[in-house]
Amino acid sequence: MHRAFTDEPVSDEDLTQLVYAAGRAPVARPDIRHLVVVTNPRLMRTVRQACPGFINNAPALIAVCSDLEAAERAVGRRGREVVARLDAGAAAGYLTLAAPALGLGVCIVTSWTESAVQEILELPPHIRPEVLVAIGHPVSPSPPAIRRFEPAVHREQFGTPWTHR
Amino acid sequence: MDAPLTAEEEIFALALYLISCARLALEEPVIYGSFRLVEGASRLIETAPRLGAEPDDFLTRCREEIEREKVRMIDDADGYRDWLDGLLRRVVAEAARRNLAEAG
Repeated sequence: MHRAFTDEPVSDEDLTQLVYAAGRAPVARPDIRHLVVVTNPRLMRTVRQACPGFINNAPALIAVCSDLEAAERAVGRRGREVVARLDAGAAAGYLTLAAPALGLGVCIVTSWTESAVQEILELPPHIRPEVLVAIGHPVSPSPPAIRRFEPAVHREQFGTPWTHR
Repeated sequence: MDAPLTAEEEIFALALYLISCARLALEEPVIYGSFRLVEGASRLIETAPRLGAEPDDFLTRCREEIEREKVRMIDDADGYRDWLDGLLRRVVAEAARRNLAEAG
């Protein structure tokens, strides 16, 4: 994750590539996923002011959102409560993986309230923001990573450590 | 590049940040609330000169320290608390020194 970016704007060409990548992620039904691409500096400023987790200076963001009515129609309550969120996470992951090839860095931001983001992006009530992905050209050299995550990996069933045979 | 914010806009931004954090704190771990508060202090210190306040070297150093140390919250809760204890003590000591000096 990057938190320090240059002032260089992210081009529409690059954002289109990232939108494409996010769109390739699994989704229960095509009409569930909505992506809001933000580049307006004034809107970005409002996001930084109202979203406490947005402690970066990225010039752009993509908000991955879900149509809850479409999710519930397609997959029922589980679609609304679980699947839509999983699919949104996948979309954020896909565009995160696509960014470095474009010379871009991202920061996935989850510490904000839905109500604040709905107001800023003028989302209808049935469109839930799931994850904000800050995007920009990272400063070079990048500051060292705060921490490295190594998941616990289990073989066959929980409790038996995965070891390479 | 955008024009600098007016003093009114700076105050609005700070108020919005605090209100946003207040709402978010209901759904986050306690330590996150602490982080948001110290971040708010950092933003206030950073904003103060643009609001017409005289430069305060002590607070400037505090802000530099906050920016350097606040990320301990992520994976070192004990270290974060110990650092915050130390910061609080230094700020309180400075407050007492200033208040007593004013009293003459």
